[in-house]
Amino acid sequence: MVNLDNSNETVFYIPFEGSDEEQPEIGPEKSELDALDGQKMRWDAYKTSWVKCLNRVQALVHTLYEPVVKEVVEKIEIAYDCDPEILSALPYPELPVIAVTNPSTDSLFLSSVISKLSDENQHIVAHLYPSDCSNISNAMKSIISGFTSISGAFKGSSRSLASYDIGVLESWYQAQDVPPSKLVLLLHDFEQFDPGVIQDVIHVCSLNVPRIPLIFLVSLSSSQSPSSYFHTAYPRSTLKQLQLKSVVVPGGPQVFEDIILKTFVDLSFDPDVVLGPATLEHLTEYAARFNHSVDALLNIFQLAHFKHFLLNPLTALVQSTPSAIALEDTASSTFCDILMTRLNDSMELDSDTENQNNTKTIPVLDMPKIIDGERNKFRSRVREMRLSYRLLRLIHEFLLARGYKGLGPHWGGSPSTLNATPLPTSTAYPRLQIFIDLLQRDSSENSQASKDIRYARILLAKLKPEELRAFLDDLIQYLLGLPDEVFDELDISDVVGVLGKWLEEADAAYTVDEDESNDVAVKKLAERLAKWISEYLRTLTNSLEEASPLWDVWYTGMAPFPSETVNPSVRASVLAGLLRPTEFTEANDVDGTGSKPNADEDDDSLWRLPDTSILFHRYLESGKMINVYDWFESFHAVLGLQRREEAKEKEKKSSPNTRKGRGKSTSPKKRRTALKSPVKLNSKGKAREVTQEDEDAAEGSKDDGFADDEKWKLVVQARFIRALHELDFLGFVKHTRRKPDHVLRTVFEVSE
Amino acid sequence: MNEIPATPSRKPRKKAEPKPIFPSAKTVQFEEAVSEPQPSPSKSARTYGRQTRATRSSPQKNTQLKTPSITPPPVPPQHSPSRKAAKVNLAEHLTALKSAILHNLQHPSVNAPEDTEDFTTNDTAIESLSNLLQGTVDRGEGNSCLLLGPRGSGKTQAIESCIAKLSEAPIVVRLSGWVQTNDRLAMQEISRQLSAQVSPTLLPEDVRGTASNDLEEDDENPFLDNPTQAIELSVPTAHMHTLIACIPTLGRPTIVILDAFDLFTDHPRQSLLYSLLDTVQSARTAGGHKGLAVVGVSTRMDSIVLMEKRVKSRFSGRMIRTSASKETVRCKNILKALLTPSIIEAGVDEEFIQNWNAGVDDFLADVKTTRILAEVCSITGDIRTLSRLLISPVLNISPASPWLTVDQLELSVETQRIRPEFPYLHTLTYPSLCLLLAFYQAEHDGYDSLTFEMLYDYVRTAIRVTHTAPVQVNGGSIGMVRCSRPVLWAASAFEQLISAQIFIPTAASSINIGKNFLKYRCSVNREDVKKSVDNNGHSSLKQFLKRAGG
Amino acid sequence: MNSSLNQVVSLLEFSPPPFIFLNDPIAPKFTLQNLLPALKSNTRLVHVDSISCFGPRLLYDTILNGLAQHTPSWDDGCKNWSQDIANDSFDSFLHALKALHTSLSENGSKHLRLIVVIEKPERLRERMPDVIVPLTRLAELTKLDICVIFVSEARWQDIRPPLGAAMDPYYVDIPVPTKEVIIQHLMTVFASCSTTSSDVATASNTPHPYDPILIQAYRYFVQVLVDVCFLYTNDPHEIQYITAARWPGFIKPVLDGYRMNVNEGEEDTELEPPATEVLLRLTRHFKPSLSLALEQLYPRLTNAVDWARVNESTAVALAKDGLVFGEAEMEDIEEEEPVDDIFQSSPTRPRASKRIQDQKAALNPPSSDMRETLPLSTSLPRLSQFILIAAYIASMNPVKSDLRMFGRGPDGKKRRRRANRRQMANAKPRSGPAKIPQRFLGPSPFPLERLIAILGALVEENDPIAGELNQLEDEVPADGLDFRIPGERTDYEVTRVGVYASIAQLTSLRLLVRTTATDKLDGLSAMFKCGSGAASSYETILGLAKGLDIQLPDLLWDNAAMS
Repeated sequence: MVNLDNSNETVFYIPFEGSDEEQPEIGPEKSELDALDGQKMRWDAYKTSWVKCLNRVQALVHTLYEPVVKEVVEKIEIAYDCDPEILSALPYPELPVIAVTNPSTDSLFLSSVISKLSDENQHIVAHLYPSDCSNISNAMKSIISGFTSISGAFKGSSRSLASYDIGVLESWYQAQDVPPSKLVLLLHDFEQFDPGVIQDVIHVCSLNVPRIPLIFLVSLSSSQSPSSYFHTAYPRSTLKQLQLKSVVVPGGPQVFEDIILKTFVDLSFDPDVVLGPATLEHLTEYAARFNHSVDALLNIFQLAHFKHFLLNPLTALVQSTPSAIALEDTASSTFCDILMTRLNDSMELDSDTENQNNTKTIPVLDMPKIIDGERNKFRSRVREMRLSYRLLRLIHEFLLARGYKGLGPHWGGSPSTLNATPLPTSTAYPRLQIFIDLLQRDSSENSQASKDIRYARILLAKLKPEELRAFLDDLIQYLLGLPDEVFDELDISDVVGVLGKWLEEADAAYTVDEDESNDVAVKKLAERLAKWISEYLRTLTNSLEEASPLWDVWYTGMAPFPSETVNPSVRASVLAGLLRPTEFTEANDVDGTGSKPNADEDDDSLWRLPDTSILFHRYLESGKMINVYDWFESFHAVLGLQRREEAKEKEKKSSPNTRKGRGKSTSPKKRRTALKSPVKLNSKGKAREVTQEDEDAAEGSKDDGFADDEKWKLVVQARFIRALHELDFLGFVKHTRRKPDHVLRTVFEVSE
Repeated sequence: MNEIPATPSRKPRKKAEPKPIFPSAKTVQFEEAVSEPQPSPSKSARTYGRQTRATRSSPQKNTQLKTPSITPPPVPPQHSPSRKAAKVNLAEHLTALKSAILHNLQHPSVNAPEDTEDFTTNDTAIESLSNLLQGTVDRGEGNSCLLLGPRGSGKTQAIESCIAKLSEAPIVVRLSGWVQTNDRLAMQEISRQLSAQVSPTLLPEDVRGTASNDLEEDDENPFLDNPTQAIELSVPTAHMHTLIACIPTLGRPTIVILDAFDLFTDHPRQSLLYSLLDTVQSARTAGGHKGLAVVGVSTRMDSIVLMEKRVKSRFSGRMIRTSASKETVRCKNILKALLTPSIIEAGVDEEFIQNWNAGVDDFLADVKTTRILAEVCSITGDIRTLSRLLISPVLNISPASPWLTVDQLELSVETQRIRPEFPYLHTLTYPSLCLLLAFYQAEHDGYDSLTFEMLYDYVRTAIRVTHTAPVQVNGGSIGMVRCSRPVLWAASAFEQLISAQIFIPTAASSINIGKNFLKYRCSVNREDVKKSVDNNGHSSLKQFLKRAGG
Repeated sequence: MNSSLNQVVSLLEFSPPPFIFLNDPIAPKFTLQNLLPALKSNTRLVHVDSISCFGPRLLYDTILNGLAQHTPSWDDGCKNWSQDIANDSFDSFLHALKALHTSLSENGSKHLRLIVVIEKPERLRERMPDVIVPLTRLAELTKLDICVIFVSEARWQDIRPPLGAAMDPYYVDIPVPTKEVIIQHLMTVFASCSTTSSDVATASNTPHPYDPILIQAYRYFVQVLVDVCFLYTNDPHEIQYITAARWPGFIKPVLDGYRMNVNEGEEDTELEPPATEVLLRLTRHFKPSLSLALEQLYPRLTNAVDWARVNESTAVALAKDGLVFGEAEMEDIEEEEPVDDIFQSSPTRPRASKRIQDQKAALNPPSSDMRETLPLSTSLPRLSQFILIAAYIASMNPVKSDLRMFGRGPDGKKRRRRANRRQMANAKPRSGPAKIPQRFLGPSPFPLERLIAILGALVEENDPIAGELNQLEDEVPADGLDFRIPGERTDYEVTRVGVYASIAQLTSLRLLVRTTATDKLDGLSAMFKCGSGAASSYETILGLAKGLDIQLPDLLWDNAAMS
């Protein structure tokens, strides 16, 4: 147990014993709709599905980094002994520097490099952080200790070398019985280092290579080529001593898109929760405008997942179905009812078509079975959706390969067309955008996806015989190449069968083509194929909302993404807070779309607001310069009103409407007086304010025995000053040298 | 300038006796031209462009010296049969001679041998100083004095000679204001030297304490390495006072020499000086103790003013002055002494030495030499400067040219004393000169400090102009050679100019300011730029210069 | 090894002055390389680099250990030579020196001379100014025969401490190396290389470029190269660097030819020096690449090894100049095409086009000497690009011009700027030098608010998304704000957290630089400016602006100065 009163301790470490009472807070709050311990189920479901998604993404990132890591390690390997012919003739040995440009902020890449270096090939890796390099001696000391620490810390005495002397490192290196082949120094976020210090460090080190086989591994986050940063920040005298090689870690929009596609549009991977168009749209937009790092991606994914599971009690069913017993429990009755109604509706839809004899109520016992069925059904639908995307892309690429225009510029392909037109950012990720379109394809024929499908059909119908054959061939090959479960589930086999038949026809027609008949036949075939394909695509791309009555369990659909919570607009929030403070206390919706101002009753009458808001309202009504005294006066007036009103409320809360009347009557007057800019507020106006104020006060004093105005004035003054300072602190007020009694507005044109 | 006829300065006997071991005058001149890159000044005007020897770059500098030397070269000796052999042992003679002379030059004695007859200030200084020290040593007096004199006027020599002459070998503590930058260091040093010269038992233990207390724990922070912080606290003045007070008890008279005395007065509260002088004063009264002399050596004539009142009151106020030898004659004597070492023991034959000495006499007798020496002496009497002037002429002595020549002297004067601002300016690379010219033009336009971007813009426009309106010079159009931005910028041009402090940043560079936006001013004056461009002889650059408004 | 160096050496052998100052403005490193081995012979010498000796303690330790030729070993804790403390003050250093001298002279060596060579003494001036004076007086302080040599590119009067405290040095000026010196130096390099890499050669009988036979070819090559480079640099090391990068590629065809002949089976063929006409052809072929090498290697835009690899001349190119020796099958090398990229320009490019490229480089060079593998336009998110442009505008335009540039009336219609005319107007009555255009002075700092404001204007004008968002989100006003006033929406967008985050991120990339202290709570007056390099180069920003189709020139106050 730590004794916090111990005065001669500077720092206390309070270890975290996993306290169990916080457990409930972690999960979503209990909603009455939940099944028996449904919130826990939801929580677990959330965790499993999120972890699944996360692992997928990280695996993808790893595969992306793999080659680059290899490259870096190899560069380190061959440093000092590549091209002896050239190196031997150089005037002096150069210090190898490998600059890694790593736009994404995660340390994943570097860590994998380090592990590879220190595990597979015995290099020693030391780290150097900008904080170590306040001056050169600290820098050198931390470098040396970083290397030598593995064989005991170096005790420098006044009779030995200083611990920041490079000689220490050298002697240490000489002393190693199995000297490490390379000493790799890893400089983390290099832009933060002080060039003045680093260039001395480089000088010192370069004087001692290759006696000490040092290698600098520099991690830059600046997005230009690493050499460019070196050239801007360092003099040539330093560059002369380096052998600079640069490596660029993959990143940027392309990678971003790839990851998303591979996660949600890949047939070999089924996420538990499918993100709907709304979320994906927001994702693309956010990435394009603000940040396309993998971290941002993960954050948004996670948030989407979390929200999904938070709001919908049914999401307990995402992976697993509770046992019938659990469902029968009274605790989960409401839950069951919801399920029941949902399922029944869907039943009714098809009930009128066929079997009349089924009962309108599903016995709870076979509910799990049904749910599982729904789950599988939905999954297959999702797969179909993806398949459709793949097929369309296949068609597109085939056409491109054949030198046609393909399905249009938004499908990418020829980069020239892609960059020529100024695109809205959403198509910074064209491929993803297409998938979104597909998701959004509705029965109305003018959605982008439907257009594409129609277009595909037209194009396919025009194929030449030989092309037709080739296309069929490709198509079949692709379908056969699909992963097995997909192949079985979407019973591709008969599709292949059909296609195969056509292919034979095409071959036949192609092999014996002299007379017109074959051409005609091929034409017909092409027509058929095109027609079939478009039909097939349509069926594949039926909207997921109709996939299952329980679609919203696995699919976020059009549910908006809480962008305001991720990326709020500070200024707007502050203004809104000042203008409508009450709404923040009332607002409780999670998706930060904000709630309408309930402008029905008199709650917006000025005097009900807190002081700062009152002052701010007055502020908005004033001119460019505010005379502080006038400001105070108007504030004072409102407070006077407020005081009276509260007094009234206290005594006769019986008749609200009269108070309301008065509230209405007074406030416009204030409005008027304040509206003329206080700067040229003439004495008359002021006088009127004052007189009114007086009689207000008098009235107040009549009403209740609150007599002394002096005290009241002091109170008002204090509240005014406080409010003023709050505004000042928020930056709404700028002071001027010339007119000390005036302040400048900094915010204009705010619509109330 | 190599004609033979005799001149008044030449002593008749020289003409009579031949110097057989010397090579003929022809060969001398010829090989001289070959063996040394520098042509004689008369030729300099023509061969300017090619010159690499830095010291010849600005002729105007040595115009005041440029008067035809009337020193005749040595008489061409008859060819002796054993010429080769002569050459050989001539060579080794010369090396012996050189080493001897150079050794002399490193340890010049202020007092020329001849001038014993007239009684120089230094002699008086030495006399009074030795009296003082004698008093301390023999009669146990406490003495204090200041030994003042310009640099190289033989202060240190005076003291050392005096100490050497003393009857009884005293304890000598030598402190230097340059090294002991504060009293703590001074105390450590004193105790060290004392404990070195006195058997430790005699030392009071606190002295030994300070002597041995200098191993304190090792602080890795380099800024603690130079011990300048919180020193005065570490050695309380009272303590120091007692330490110093016990110096007279050491059994032998002590002489404390404070070199660069004026710096000691900068130490806080001058506590060291105070306690030293205080001890001196008390020692005077107290019997039984051995004497203590404190000699402050300084070049500042006003050193006494620098002392605080309490310190000054304890100072005897005795000031001894040394003076540099101003008149050329003494210089010459000194130099002659330096240049004619006695190297008989080196097995060098008499004849050679005679010739050599004669040559030295001629050399010194030369009008031009006299002028140079006069000028040097009139400015500084520092004997070390004089000897430094002679180093390179002596070094250049070779079997090919076995003489001290006046040209050599001129050269070395220019190298060592009247150094031109930027000797190598005209040999700068093309890009650098472009930048210089750009600056030149900018100054003409009225900007005094520029960023690289502006300079670069100037150069760019200049290059463009030359290519739009090519200038026809003797047939071929000479456009300026292009140099790409990186070459101009990172490459030698800019950064070299900065590192050579030709361009001086007006503000300290920081990460926030791009290097290309730092402001610089040019430390080369316009004349030199002009001249260097002319000398460099790059025609297109000359065009640039014209356009730059020069 | 020129005459003045020889003088120094002989002087040091005879009896040196206590303090010598070697001034070599061009290549001090080169001078040292020549000087040190010459001195090593009969003196105790230590060479101190005053950058790596950044503290007095390091200085003392290095000098003492160096003179004592004592190498500290890790096992005894890196003990110094001197038993008692020698590095806490100059006094103890002096004592240690004396002790060292006595001990040295005890064990044998007759009258020995200590020499301390100090490189880059100008750095001493910054780091330990009060050491310089004692160093120059080392001889008289220790009363030993010790000589201190400063080797610097700066002049003594720039290093010299005030008050004439230091001894006057014996000046030695190293003349600027001439072509002859450089060539001679390069030849020695060749010799050393041929000795060192000969064992490699013997291992595989393939001849290596530094085979002694090739020395004549090498001499020829070097002369050509020096002629090309000498105009730009006279630092022997630099030219050596370029030579090292180019020579193997230059001689490669010959070696290949030889190798081919060997493979043909004629084992007995001996590698003979290439004929002059071959050399001529080689030269004609590689001449362009020489100046290219200068352009790229001298500023170290790339390093020698990579450059050599990139500038391997292709077989086709060689064949074109008839530089494929030995019986090579031409047809199999015909199809491959020489790469003609601006940066890996194969040396085969005819000189004319090379010159054109040079002209381009000379006339409109990239204002930042860098090539960007990831152009900002793709690597940065859209809004960050906007921010960069806004920052550039903010740092280039005078504050007073903002309203005229971006101001719009309440009716939302933009006012017309008339910058340049009045610019001309107030430029005419010119007293003293004209005002230097901002782009030469570099970016000027600006407050964060100004950046945000300009950013808002830019987004409002040029960002379709903001507009489309207007439509898209009008029905659901966030935070109950509905955007009646034009620009309100943009205002809302521009003050999002994401924007500030992007600014912070750009700052961490040094594309923006925060000039005020970061720990100031008062966020209102946070000043920024464009970072050095890309962010403050007109070309880069212009590129970004084009990508977002912003008319940057119209938004700059005096765009006359631009371009």
